[in-house]
Amino acid sequence: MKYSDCARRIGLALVLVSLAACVSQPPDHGAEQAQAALLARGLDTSLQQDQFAGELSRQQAVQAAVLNHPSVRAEYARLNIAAADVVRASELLNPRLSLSWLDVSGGSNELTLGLAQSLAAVMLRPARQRIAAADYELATLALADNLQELALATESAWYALVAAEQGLQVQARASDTALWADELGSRFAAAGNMAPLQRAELARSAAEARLELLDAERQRDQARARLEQQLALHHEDWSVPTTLPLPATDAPDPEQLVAQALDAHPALQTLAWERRRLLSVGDNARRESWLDEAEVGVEHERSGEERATGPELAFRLPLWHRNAGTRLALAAELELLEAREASLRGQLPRRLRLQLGELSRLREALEVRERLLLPALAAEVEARQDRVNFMLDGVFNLLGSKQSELRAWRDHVATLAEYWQQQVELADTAGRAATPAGEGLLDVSAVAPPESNSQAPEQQEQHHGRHH
Amino acid sequence: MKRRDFLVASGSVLPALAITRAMANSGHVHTNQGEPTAGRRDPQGYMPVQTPNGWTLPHRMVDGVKEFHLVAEEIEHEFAPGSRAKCWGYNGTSPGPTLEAVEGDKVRIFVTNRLPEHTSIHWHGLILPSGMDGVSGLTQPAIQPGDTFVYEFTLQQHGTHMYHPHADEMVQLAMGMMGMFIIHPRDGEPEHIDRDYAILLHNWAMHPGTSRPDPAVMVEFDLWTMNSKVFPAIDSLVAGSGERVRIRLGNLSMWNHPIHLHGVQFLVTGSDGGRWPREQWRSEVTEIIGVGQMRDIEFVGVPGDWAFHCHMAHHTMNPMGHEIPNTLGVNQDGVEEKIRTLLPRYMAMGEHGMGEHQDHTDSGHMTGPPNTLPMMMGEGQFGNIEMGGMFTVVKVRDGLAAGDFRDPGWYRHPEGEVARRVSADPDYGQPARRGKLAGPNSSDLPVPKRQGHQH
Repeated sequence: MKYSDCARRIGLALVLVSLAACVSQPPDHGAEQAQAALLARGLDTSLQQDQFAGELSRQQAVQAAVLNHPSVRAEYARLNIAAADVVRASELLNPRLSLSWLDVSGGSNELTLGLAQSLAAVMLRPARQRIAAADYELATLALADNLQELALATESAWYALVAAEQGLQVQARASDTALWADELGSRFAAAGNMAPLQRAELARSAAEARLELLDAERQRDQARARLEQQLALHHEDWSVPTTLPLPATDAPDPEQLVAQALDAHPALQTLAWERRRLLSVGDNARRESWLDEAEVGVEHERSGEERATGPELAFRLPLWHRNAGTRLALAAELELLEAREASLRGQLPRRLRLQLGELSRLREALEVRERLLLPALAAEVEARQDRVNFMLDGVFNLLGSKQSELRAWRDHVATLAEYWQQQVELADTAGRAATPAGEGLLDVSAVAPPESNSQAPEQQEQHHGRHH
Repeated sequence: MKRRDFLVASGSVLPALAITRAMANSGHVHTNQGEPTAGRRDPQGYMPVQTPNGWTLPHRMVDGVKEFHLVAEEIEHEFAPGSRAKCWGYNGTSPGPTLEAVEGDKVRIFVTNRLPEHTSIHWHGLILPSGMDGVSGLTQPAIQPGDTFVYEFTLQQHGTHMYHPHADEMVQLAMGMMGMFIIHPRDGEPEHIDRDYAILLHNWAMHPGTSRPDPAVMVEFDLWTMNSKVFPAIDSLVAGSGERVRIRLGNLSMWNHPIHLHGVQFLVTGSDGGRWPREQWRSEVTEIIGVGQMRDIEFVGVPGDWAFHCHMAHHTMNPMGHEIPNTLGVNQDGVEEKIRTLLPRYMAMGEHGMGEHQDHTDSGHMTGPPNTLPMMMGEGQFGNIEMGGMFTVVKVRDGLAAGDFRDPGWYRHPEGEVARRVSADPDYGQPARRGKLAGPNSSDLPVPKRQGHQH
């Protein structure tokens, strides 16, 4: 075969390779894949857009956050960057065309024409595509993880606001008892029936009750601001229920939960994909050590009447280094990944059992309050009322007993709120994207009914001032 | 129509006598519980003692000795319907049965201890051999649970006396162990007694809502009793018009009791030392019965219903709080409604006095602690009596048969002998009034200046 034929074929090959290097389509399955991952973790993000006005359920609040929160847009942009990287990895370097013109003494000249293509770009392309694909998968997982984090943060904020609203409702009535006692105290003093010491004690209690109410209002306002930030709505026409859900009857089985987490925890999935990516990077580095900057091409020279055409091959001689440093670094990174996975597999069961234990204690505390403390306090109020009826006790003690009962209910609400925050933490640790549904609602209307409309005008004004 | 409205309405159209008769027959339960005595003189010449709400222990004669048998034991006692307790007593009751004998009798008294702890019996005020005085540890070994002891002595005196434990006395007295020991004079009475009543005064720390007396209390008692009953469960003291009545009173409580009888000036005729000589008798309407003391009072029955009670006002009340806020003059309007939003059963009371309380408790819409009596109870023919504790009624009637101790119902007042309303206008008449009248513009209490010393 003549050199010219050979050069022609090489040129053709370069053209074909160049054609083969045409741009591939960016992947678009990431969003759906993240959605499916979240569904598997208990969160359905496929719901349709809602108005998100009026009283928002927990699910609606999460939906609003997932659809509206600015961070979600950033997460999708990151996924698109990863998709672009997949495209970038499929692209070959463009062929290099070289031209040289030399004037030779004596009047002649030499023309050199060369066409070269990076061999490394061609040979390393599949490895780079695998790396980019892995990066895309990791971006998908990151999207799911970040959406999960957003959803759980929204749930946490939602529970906190509901608890703050319900706590405020109870605190308002608890404070009422002290305010009424103070008001009665002024009547007793006006009638000449109360000594200054007791009068001062009642006034002090009333002032403390007002401070407690202010604190409850502040907590409610802070909780609303926190949820508002999560929802990222463009209006304020929204609220949350004022009754916390009660815990589900069935507690999760610790061993089953641990087994599930060790089997399919998102962090472990991410580690698996990072490992896969590192292996691809290692494969790529091995090839790079031989093919780095390798080029094939064809060169044509014309000097006077002489013409010469022939192929060209250029590559570095792997004499001094063979990417050994890179390979060592990759090996270390793989080691690091394995260490992280081992640590995670060791920590997960411990953290899950610890949190389940905490959850169990909170459930027990709720049960003790519900079965023992609150009935005992209700019985104390009833017994106190009986004593007041028979002139064995006074109204101030009666109001004091009622205040104690309401404070216990306020603590009950706080414990229930803590329980749901613990559920959020448990979901986060277990790799779940949602907390379980409760069974029923904590009804405080019997012990702390909403304030009636029959109050004195000044009292109504006072309360309106407090609640808005 | 409310009961009170009914009373007002009916009072405006019916004469007092008609009202009296109507109310006397309107279904009030008048049932004396005490075991009636015969109403005729014993062969030894004395008129047997009637123990309201109680009974007299029968005896048997053995070789010329009067034998009694007392059993110390735990009992279930009712102070009045609605208040029962586990107490300690004798032979099933508190007070224990009255022992009755005659000066010079030789008595043999068996005492069986069915209590969970040791006991003894002290014969309060009796002259007897030291070893029969019943002070455990000092004059005799304690009677252990299950043991029976015998006391035997000759009665060297007459008068009203008592018996009670002298072992773990604080507990056993607080639990109700006591009784009367009546010794009639061998030589008869200078004035024949037609009806002879024996009443033992006591106090109980029966805290509201509990069902066992608290022996640790020394001052703040809940129930003040005559023969371990409170009004309205204390038997009426029944007598015929013109009959000579004696009421023997003993006090085993921890307070003195100024006992007051309406309608007569009674004579105090005896004490711990027995019946006084006639020249020592004195006329009174109130006689203080000191702690551990006895007094006999005598009077001739005058027709009517006559209150008979301790004059310590809170001793004629059933359980009440002693440190509750004073609601007198306190206007709770507005606040009360607000409180009811959280405490629907709350009812402001006492702005104008506590007289309304009984209406609320009697009607049942103000319920109290379990096993607890309202502070004020009892309904008479003209309305609420508003009493409790050491209060009963001496009911004197014409033509009452001897030995008839049944409650005769309310007295039927003769026409024109019942106080009546003549006006509903507070400005009625021109009564003389002095002093500074209290009103809305009354000045406040003076407030001391606090500028310190001026030099």
